[in-house]
Amino acid sequence: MRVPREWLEAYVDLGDVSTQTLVERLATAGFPVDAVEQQGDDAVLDVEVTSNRPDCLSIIGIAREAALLFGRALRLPEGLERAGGVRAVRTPRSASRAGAPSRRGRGRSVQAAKGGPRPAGGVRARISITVEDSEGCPRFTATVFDDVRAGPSPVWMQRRLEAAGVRAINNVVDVTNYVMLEMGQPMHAFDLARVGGRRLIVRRARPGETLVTLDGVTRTVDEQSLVVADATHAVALAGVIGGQDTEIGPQTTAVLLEAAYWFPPGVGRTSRRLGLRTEASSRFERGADPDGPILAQRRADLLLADVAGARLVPGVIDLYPRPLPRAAIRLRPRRAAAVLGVEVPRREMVRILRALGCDVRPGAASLAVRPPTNRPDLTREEDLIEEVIRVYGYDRVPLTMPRGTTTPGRVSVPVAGERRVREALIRSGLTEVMTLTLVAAEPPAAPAGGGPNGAGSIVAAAGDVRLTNPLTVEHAALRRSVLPGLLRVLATNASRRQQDVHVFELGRVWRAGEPGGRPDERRAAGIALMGRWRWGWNVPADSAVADFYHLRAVVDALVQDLGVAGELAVRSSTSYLLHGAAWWHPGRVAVATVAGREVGRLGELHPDLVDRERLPYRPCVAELDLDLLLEAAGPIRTYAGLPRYPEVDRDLAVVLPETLAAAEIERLIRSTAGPLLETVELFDVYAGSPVPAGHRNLAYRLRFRAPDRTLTAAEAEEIMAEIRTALEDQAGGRLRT
Amino acid sequence: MENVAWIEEIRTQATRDIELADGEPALEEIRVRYLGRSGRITRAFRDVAAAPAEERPRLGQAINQLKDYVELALARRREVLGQAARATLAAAERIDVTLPGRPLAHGRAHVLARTAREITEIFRGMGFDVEDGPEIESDHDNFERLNIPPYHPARDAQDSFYIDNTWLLRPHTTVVDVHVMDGRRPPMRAVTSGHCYRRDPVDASHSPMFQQIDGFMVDDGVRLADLKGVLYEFARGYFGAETRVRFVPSYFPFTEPSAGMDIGCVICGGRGCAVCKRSGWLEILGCGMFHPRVLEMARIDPERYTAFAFGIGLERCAMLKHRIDDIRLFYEGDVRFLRQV
Repeated sequence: MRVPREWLEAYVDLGDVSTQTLVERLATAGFPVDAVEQQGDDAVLDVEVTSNRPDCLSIIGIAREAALLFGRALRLPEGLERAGGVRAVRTPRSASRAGAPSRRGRGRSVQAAKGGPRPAGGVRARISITVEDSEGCPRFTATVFDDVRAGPSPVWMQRRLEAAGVRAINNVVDVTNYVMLEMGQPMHAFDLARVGGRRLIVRRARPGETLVTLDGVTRTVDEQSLVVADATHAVALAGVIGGQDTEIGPQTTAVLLEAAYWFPPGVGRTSRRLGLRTEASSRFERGADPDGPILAQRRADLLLADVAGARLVPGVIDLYPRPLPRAAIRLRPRRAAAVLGVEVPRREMVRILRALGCDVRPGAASLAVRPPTNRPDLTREEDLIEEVIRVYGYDRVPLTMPRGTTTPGRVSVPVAGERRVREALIRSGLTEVMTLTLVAAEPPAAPAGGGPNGAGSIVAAAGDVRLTNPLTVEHAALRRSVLPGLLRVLATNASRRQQDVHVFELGRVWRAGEPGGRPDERRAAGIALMGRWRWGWNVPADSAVADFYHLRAVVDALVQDLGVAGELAVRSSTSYLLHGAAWWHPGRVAVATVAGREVGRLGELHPDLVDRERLPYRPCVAELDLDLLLEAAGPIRTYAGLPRYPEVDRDLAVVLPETLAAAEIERLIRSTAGPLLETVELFDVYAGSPVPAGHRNLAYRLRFRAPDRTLTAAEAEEIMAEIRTALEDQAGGRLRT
Repeated sequence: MENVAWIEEIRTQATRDIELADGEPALEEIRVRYLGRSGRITRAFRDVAAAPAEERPRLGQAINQLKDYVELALARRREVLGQAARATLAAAERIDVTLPGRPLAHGRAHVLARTAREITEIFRGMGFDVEDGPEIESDHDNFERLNIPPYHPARDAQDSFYIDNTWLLRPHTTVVDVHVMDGRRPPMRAVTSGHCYRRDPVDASHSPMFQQIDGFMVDDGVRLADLKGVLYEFARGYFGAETRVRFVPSYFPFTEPSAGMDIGCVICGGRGCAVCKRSGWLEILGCGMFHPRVLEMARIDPERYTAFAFGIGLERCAMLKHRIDDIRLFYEGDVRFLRQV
């Protein structure tokens, strides 16, 4: 809300208050000033108004706050004084208030022209108003002016409007805008001559109904939105914007002036539906003053007479069949003290609430408070407590610590689990990254069978969780894997000449659930290694570059660190696709399982992807299902004792076919050796002459130990002989000596 | 005692040999030559047996003395040689200690993860449990349970991404409070951190995905003053003991009264700069006393219990503390950035 000081001071005397002091005081009362703009010799304050304070989307609203904060009197302009503040809406000029429509019962349709006495030549002879939806439009007022001389408004008015950020158009429109800015009630002026049938109907839009709005845009209104229509078609979008058809122009001589109170969510809905936010809609959707329309009519009458020579046709049409109830609130000073932790003196409470326009009747234990109609936000005791403390000063509330016992907080299981994983991966030397979980919606995959549920169908897009209202196509769906985000991190770094990148990410991934159901949300860990790993001068680059086995060691360490129950097994995977596209190197991808359950995949990136992303090395990446992994994690590790008897080490070299997986060989060695074999350490893998083609030589160091005695060399030799035999007979191995 | 000529000869010879020895191998060779199984001194003991009986004691004693003498001389020479060798060790095995180290892969948590941890730990110290919640929420839990009906203008400030008519990406972590309240009875204190989403186009200070820390406390007799005290401790704990705070009125549909907490500008110390828009203050969180409606919907009697809640912008805190000027840096993964902060 742009507030020119000069205009503000028309209602409150602040001559001795510097702009800086004003800005600071407003901020402490909940109206931070974003900027102060110097315009000639005037300063314009850009005041931030929270959405619960539609009353302060007006100069008078801010003036009321300023008057209260500086202990000054608020001077309301002619036409806007409220006698007693309650129902001072009966202006002497509106002698012919619509024949007591409130007594017309529960009928949803209110027709002013038919009700009540009707003075000859009055407003009712000029226009008939029907409200078909009195829930959407609880109050509708109309006046008619003759002898209007449309033209520019006076300089003082134009200046104030423009300082407040509203373009001057002509005197009639300017008066409606002036009133809106001054007291917060939006109004709309129609050229009466162009209102077909001399009638206005407030109704729901018809199917496919269109309207050219004042901004020149043709808009199609949906059937739930309210329009103001003449005999034939919509002439305004209720509470949002007027139509071009009935716009005030130089030829206008008779003006129909509308001021209404619209059901706030209705305006909010229409405004959002059309993506159209206007000065009017932003006030109505926050909840305007139900008594505002009639006050605005009075004020506009005075101004129009002044600036456009207009003459009011006697009478005000005021359709308000069921006056909105006003809150009656009991404010208990003891409750206020209990909520705030500070005792605000009762007389101070009374002063503040009265200055805000409330009726306050002090009782023995509580104050009976009726807020003014322009404060729809005040409905409960807490609302009043906030008003009191807001003005009294948040800084007068002491700083205390909660009473009662405090026990140390607990860390929930999922949070603790995530912390463990993070720490383990950091210990492996990885840097944590966080990437956007919003990704581009992948184009639906080509249908495999080309059946009737083919391209573009739900089947094709199954799995993706898409947004209905994305901002950009790049951020239109939720990720199903953390890996594409990590690939982007690698590519970003590579493009910036950062070629050694070892990172991980912990985050969530999603998959569509049942139609209409909650999408499946799981936690995942992604790991990506690219480039040199523990590298230094004189370390040959080819032995420093991270490969699949470095990655595997990271996964091993994580599983070990978590104390996962059950053995981690890694076996080669036949699938190298991620979401239907080639992702992994087909010969260098593995599935990791814990106790037989698949917990993730790891492998080298497909060379095509490496080329496409212009990566300097072939990265190795892994994705693990954290929910599964943490489910298997053990909370506390126990001490198993240190060995008490010496070990016997023996080396073993065996030539085996390359196709025989190392895991199989190790399993064979272990199962043959039995419990006295403590560790199996592979220390050499060699292929090439003199090893025959298709074979490789594997060299192991085996450590034997007995838990209860000193193992003899002879015993170890006996086991070694069995292992050699097993390797020869069961695996076709040739032993080297 | 009369010296035996041949013994003296051995002594003289051994002395010369030892003095000429230039290292351990030579000393060892000398030891073998004199003291070995068939060394000259060992043989001399055997010769004693051949000597006349009356000479044997004197001769034996002399040879024993010779043996002791040679052993001592060898030991002395060994020591002398050892000292000499160490004297040249520095020159012989010198390395250039100024060569760069061989880098260890030194892992690091993301600055936002560390910030979240640091902040949640501050609250944990004040008795808050650390909780977690899903990032996809129902419209009902996310808005209506927090007193934000459909088409409420406050929804604009939390313009959300929807999955369908029911499900949306949570625009705040306050919704976790609702879940925690549903699962427990007062008194309770909990804090949570995590991703939030709003339809904000990307720029230096906005990201459609960002993170919040949210906390709340329900008990009988919880006051706005307690909220101020707890948040003041947070500000001092995270930004430093000298941090100044102020509370200004604000608006959230789920709190009444509502407040914003500002800290004295950490950049200019409160004198006024571009970061604090010349005000000397930086807004870092929103808070307030839970609206009675929110408690009622959680089946908590607002007459018996009162509650406060707060929501902290995680990126904002980290940006101020680490002087980071662009929110996009957090989510881009540039390792140079990640190593700096």
